[in-house]
Amino acid sequence: MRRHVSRALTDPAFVATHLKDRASGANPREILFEDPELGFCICGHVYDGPANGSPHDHGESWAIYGQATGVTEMTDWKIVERAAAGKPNLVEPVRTYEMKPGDAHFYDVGDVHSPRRAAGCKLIRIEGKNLDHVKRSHIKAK
Amino acid sequence: MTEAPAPPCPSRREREYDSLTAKRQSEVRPMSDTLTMTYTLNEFAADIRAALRPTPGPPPRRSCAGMFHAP
Repeated sequence: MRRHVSRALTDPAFVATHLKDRASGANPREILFEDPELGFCICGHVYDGPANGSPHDHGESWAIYGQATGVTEMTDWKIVERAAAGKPNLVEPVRTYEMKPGDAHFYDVGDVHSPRRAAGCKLIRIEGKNLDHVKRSHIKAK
Repeated sequence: MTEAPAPPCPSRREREYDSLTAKRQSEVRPMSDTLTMTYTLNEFAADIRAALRPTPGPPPRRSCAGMFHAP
């Protein structure tokens, strides 16, 4: 799987064709392919400027982030207090690392992470299920 | 004992010509040549599908565990 994602990420024609710059104000996310049988999606994410995400998981789905251009500073978090009685999961940072062009990282079901992108970048995200329809966990940094 | 003849060495003029020719060829090469699609979206999707399909044998303990490592 890693080999396939890396191959797409490092193919200039693939990136040029499927990760085109977005119009100003357009949704960075585009579903490039959704498998009717297995349900996985191949998505293109194109950010034209800084984009920072808060700690999150992907609910009942796994996801693979693949960096095509630019850099993402990713932080992995661990849950230190489980959600209860309407309160969110409380998380603490575990490690931070940079994802550079060609890098791919797998996030299993429930893995909490947060991306920071200081400048525009392009990435491929493979989702086990279309995340448009997946309910995320309620997560808050402790 | 006779030494083997040295491989032919291109003259300076030939080397300059080759260098200039190569440079011009790279300059005039159309973009479509340099961006030839080698991996299509359909191929990519088929490869992922094949990787995700369950294989005969005991079920995996995690959904995709072991397929990926940290960069």
